[in-house]
Amino acid sequence: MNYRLKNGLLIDPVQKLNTIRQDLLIKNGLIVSEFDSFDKFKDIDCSEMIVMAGGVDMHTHIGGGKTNLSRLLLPEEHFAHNRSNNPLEISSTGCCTPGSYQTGYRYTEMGYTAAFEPAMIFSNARQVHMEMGDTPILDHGAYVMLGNDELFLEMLASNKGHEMIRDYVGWAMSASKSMGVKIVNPGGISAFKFNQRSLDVDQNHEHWQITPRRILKELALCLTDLGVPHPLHIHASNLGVPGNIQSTIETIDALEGLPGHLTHVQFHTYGNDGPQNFSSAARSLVEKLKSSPNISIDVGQIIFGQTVTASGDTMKQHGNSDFANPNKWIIGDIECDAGCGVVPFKYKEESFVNALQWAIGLEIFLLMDDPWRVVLTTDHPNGGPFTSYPHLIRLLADKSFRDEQLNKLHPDVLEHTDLNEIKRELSLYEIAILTRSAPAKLLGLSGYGNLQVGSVADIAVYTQNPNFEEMFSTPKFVFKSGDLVCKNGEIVKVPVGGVHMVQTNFDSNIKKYISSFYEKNISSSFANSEIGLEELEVCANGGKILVTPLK
Amino acid sequence: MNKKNWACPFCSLLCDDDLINDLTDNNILNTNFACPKASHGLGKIYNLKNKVFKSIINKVEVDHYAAIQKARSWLSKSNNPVFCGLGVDIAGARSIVKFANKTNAIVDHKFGETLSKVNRSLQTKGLFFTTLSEVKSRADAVVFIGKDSFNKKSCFYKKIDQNIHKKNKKKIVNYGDLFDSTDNLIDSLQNLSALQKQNNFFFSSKYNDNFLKNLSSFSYIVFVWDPACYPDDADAIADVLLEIVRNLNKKTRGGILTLAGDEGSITMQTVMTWMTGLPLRTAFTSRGLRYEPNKYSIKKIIQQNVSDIVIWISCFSSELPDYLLNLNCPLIILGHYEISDQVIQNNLDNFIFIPVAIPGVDVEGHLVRCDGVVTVPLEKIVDSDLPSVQKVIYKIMQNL
Repeated sequence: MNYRLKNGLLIDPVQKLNTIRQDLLIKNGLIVSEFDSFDKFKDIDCSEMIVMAGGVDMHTHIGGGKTNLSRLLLPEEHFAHNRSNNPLEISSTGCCTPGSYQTGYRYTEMGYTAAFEPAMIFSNARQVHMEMGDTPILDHGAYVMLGNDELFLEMLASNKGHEMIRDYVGWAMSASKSMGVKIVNPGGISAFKFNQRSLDVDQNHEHWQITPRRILKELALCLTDLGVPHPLHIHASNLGVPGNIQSTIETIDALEGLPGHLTHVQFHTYGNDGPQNFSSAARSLVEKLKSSPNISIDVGQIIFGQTVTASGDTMKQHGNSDFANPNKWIIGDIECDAGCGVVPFKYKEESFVNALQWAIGLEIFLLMDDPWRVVLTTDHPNGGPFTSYPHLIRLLADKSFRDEQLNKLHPDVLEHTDLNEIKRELSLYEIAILTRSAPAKLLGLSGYGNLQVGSVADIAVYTQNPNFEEMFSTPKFVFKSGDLVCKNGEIVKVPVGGVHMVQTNFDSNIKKYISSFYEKNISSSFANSEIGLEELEVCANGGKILVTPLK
Repeated sequence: MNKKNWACPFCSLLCDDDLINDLTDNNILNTNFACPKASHGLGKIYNLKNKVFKSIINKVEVDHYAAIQKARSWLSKSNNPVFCGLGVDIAGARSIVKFANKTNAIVDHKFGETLSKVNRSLQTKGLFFTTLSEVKSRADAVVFIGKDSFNKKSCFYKKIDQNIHKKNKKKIVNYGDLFDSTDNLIDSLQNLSALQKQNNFFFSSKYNDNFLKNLSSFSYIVFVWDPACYPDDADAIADVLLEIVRNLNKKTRGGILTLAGDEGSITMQTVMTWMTGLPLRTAFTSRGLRYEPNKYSIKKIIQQNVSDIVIWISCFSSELPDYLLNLNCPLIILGHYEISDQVIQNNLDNFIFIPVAIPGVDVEGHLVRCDGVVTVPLEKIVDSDLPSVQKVIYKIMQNL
């Protein structure tokens, strides 16, 4: 079906369109400038409605082993979020640990059309693609975790040379069919396996005798050489540790100007001032970012209430396990490759630390002067479930609402945050950047996150409402690749989404070296290590393979 | 002749090794798979290509189409079906979840009792796990807990490359293998846990004193066990092992490796959990999902006669459990072709049997390995005219 969305108010920061009244034409899944005379199409009246590209969540834990363990760990979370009265929906439950079907439906209901799993463990890649393939409607993709795999660390420690390591990184991306590379606590997951309990940016991994600084620089250089559009996706050292702003800034410096994306940066922006040795370092971070145009961020805002933290950072998750609420938690060492830590957590308004975390996230959003380098995330589910995005948008766009929430918090927080002095209210235009255009651009997805002619017709249409939480909770219409998939908050069609990946070039001679590592260390055959394109299609439930060009 | 690397689907360790098959005759000529399960499984595939497979309705052979039609008809009249067995690969599991959603079924695996007990421990306390490659590459000590009723040790040693010719072999300790009972094993593990927490624990057993002393110099210690050996007590063992390994990790490193998950049980649970958010022993109802692991046991449901139809799905095993042989309701079986012998021998009536292919034998597929992390692709090694279980399920679902 072709559509003409009539008289909508278009917001597309890529084209600098800000509530411009214009018809939008959809043909064969794409945005077009005009129909042919013989084209049939349906008119949809969008008068006084806001028309944006579909939302793109570039950092959300929606698939893979630790996500699934989170689901298994918290069945109680599913009793409260268990609804399915739509015959088109497959029954699926949960809020902070939703089943894959629930994930697809609930994202779509908010106007999102793509979501990316940021922490795909190489040895678990097939499962990640399968889970995302079973996440209906949304396009998806994943960043493979490197930099804690013993093979990479061994190559770096034994000075195999940049070219060889780059070929390995290229192979790992190709074999796992990934969209980017993520590093989690550089070297720290591996160090924990050798019984090291902390690792700072310039501290040596006790076994490999290399520093996180060196690991970061090498991986970032590999991605630049390979031409991967998305910069190295970095979960920095010292997650959640008071005073970690120092290592966050050192992490930026370690890149020496190479592109990098600091993820869930709220968890890495803590000072250690004040009576509780815990303070906001949002201003320090933002100042650093102003002079570091090579760095983009997503925030990882916390939202009060029950959630579960699921991270590859076993070193830190093991340390945080005393805070598990409810008191049950999972730690795992995985395949000489990575790790997994699942710790349920309840963010409480009456907790000084949690309240300040909440304020720090908002400060980062509101102090950043370049919206193209900031992405709206809660690091689902670590800071809170993705379903809280409309609430977060309202916090950012409505100063009085924000103040109202701030005044409910632990009273000491007011003395330790600048939040009440920050007058800024994000506009719809800026929200469109943070939730669509910036993440698509940072992933190199030129045909997504905008309303340009030729782009994929992933579109959300919202009824205007001064209460942005209400407005962004229930779009009037959502289109995925030109199909009307959601109307007035109800799923009306359930297509299979596509899988995004990049195709890297590398010298295939590297396989001999990798194969010998497998022989010695890995319990499965090297022959099974690579996911072929045909197999990817099976994993992705028949979804289209969407290849993003290299730079 | 064709030499290929093949992953064996007949146990949850999914050993992969070279296999030579004769493409002309569709027979396996040589393998490196010496374990009884692989030998048994591979022994049944002789001349599969030339066999003619028929479905059966109440003792009468019919074609698959007729059986599918009949199964659809029976299911359309059912109010509370139960799907069990569930010995499938990932593609089969994906289809079963959709099938159960469509028919408002309860889902439970053949090994549901053990699975639900291990889940109970996980959902109450958590887990501290490691995986096979970590054992192979990193562990310097392996503690094998209790029994090896399902002969997994040979496959396990193969996976971690522990053999007599290897230098720097890992220290292998068998803990509790000679104990008289499971209660003794649990008592001893609890004693060990207490000793760990309190060095001068007065009631420590000599066995545990020696055990701890022997392991004091190792840096990465793995506790290996097979929950399937303890269907009645898997939760108690999981609980105390978790306590021991959590304590261990305060000062050194290590983890737990479980060797369970045969006949697709871990695969089915993994897929069910990702698709719906909840594990097996869940009911699909018109008001959403209900997870009740104590209530939705297949054995209990059959004993209590609370289901009006049972659908048994089993690609890997040709054995039917006794509790299916005297049902008071219709039975639909989608399964291994040799199940037909059993239904005939047991003189079953009121049933439909549709034979299906075996993932990793006559159809490609994927299974999740025992450690729950690695999804292994399964290649087919022979041809047959058997349909995959998902193909049969999707056909039954059409117009249902």
